Amino acid sequence: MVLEVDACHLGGVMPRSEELIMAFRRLAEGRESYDSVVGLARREASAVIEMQRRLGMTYIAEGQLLWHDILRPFAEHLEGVKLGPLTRWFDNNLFYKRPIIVSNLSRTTRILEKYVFTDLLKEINWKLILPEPYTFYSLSINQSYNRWEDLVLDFAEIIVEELRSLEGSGPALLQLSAPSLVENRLDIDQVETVKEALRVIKNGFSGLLMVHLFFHDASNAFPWILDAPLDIVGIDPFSTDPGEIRGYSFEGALAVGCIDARNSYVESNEEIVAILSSVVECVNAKSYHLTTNTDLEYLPRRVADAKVERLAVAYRLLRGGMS
Amino acid sequence: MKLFPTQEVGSLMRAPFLRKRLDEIAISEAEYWGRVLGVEGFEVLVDKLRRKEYTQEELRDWASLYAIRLHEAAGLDVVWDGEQKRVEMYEHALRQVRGVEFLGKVKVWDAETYNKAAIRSKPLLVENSYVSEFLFAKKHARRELKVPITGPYTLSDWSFDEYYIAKARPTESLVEKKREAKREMVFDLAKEVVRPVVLSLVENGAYRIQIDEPAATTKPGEVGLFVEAFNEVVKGINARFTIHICYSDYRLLFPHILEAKTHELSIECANRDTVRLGQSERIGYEALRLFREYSANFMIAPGVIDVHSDYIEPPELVRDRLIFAARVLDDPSRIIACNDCGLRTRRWDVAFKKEKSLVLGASLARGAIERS
Repeated sequence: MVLEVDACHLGGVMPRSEELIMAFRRLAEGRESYDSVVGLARREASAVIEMQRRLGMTYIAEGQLLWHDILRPFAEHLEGVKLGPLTRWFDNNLFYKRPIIVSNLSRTTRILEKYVFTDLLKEINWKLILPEPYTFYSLSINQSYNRWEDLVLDFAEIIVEELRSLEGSGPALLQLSAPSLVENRLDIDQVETVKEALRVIKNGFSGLLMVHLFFHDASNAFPWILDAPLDIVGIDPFSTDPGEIRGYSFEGALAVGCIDARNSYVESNEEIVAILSSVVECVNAKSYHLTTNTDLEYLPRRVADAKVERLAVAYRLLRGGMS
Repeated sequence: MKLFPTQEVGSLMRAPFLRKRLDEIAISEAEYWGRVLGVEGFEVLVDKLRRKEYTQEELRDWASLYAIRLHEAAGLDVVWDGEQKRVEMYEHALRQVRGVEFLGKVKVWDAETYNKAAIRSKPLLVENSYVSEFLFAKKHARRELKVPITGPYTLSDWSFDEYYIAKARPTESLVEKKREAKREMVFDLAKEVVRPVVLSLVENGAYRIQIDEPAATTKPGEVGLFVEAFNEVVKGINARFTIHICYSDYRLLFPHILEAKTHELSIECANRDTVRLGQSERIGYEALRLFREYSANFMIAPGVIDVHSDYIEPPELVRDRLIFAARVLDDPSRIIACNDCGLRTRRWDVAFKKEKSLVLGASLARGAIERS
């Protein structure tokens, strides 16, 4: 079997360096200015971008180093949302501040421009990672909407507005991180709402749209996710037995998270190929992408860098026709 | 046995003289707390601090003594030294283990991190500071001691695995491979690290041992593994065991926790409760209904003191929480009064007031039950 992969990109945000972590801590203690922390984050983001360019990644992630968690920019800046309690992030020793929805969502400011160094991404095919709308809803406390469906759809609209606000400097690829879609099997009404929200985003965004399913068994979202308006579906083989999704076909690209971003063990090229093969054998997609199974913020920065490098090396080998 | 015995959960903030900046303020605090807590010979410490004639080891011994006296002065029945000689619960445990390498800081939330280690070969306990720590405390304590130790499941769940995953037999499913690797890792940590510590403590006279497992419910499918590993640690050992689990979804413990060979289970409740007085409704203690429903046969130590707030719970609030808990379990003799967790994040003045309130509140509850 010849494995052909079309693209390679990170499946989530990057971890901060120890220097940046300490700067954020000093900021929290009032011993560092926000501008100074942003300056340091900007330098790190520049290095993260340069590393991926050097390694030949197809889509470049900015790292999203200013984001305390994937929901935070929206929890802090959307009207109708306030910050809630620290809550465990799925089955990790990592916590996020749960958004509390106190009134209907609305935008009064450009949020992403405060959190993404778009000026570092000019003329780059870059990748942005945002929460998938149903995942945003399920990780929030809804005290306002009578119909949860409206919250999901309003958040989808917010994403579209934010992408438009980036104007000419928007991403080429938008990844919606969606562990809530696979934590359990959704019922038919939930599925229809998820699809409708994805349709709203797809219609309002000219780049490639990806949903990344991680932490849980991707088969919980099969086969309906394959019919959603998506260009790329990402799966986490460290949480999904490929045998459970055997026999499915997908007209888009399947992004396979062949690097475990929750463990420091660096997979060998052979292991990466074996993982990819096990998925390719089971799911017939139009093309395949190589990615990480989730965000890399579970790793110390230098370990994350090593894993990114390994991902890129494996991609180069595969592009060379390694069988 | 008296109703509502009182105990702490483990950590206290570092003693003032263990701070990085040992200035006159810190020395004055050492003098103040020495006097308030009745620490014998505290003037010797203060003099040494002023003359800058001390070793770090000496300071850690003094810190241990001060912390024991703080708990005793508050009136607790069961005390510890506030983990004054430890870095923190995870790193301290694994620093004494061969086969482990610390890789650097990873985020827990926002700017909070911990130094995360990778297991790179079969873990083996090669140092054991727990015995000397315990013997020092035993020599000085005037109350019964309870020694906290981090449990094997948490040590595993908070670590990277570079050894077991690499040697696990190849399977088609990475999910299955990860499951097998995790199981072996947890059991090795139980057998080769935590159990030898517990055995050494018991051989040296320790009786009460608390196994801290805050990660117990992190992965719902592995709660049974946590219980199996705990039982492996305590198998055949004659001691009184407490399991401590905090900030967790306690529903996930069932039914596995019923198989745990523990005498006590310490859980956090105050943090999720209101501070209104009253004994008929207490939202923070609803989880206790599960323990009654499943007929759990161990004692429960529901936290009645929130360790994440400077608010000093009045004794009447502690009383109401304890009485509510006793009613839910329908048996006051199965309730221990304690904190939600260690008081590591609270200043000593706050921690001392909270512990005194715990003791007074338990006394009020005891009186109320005995009168009824």
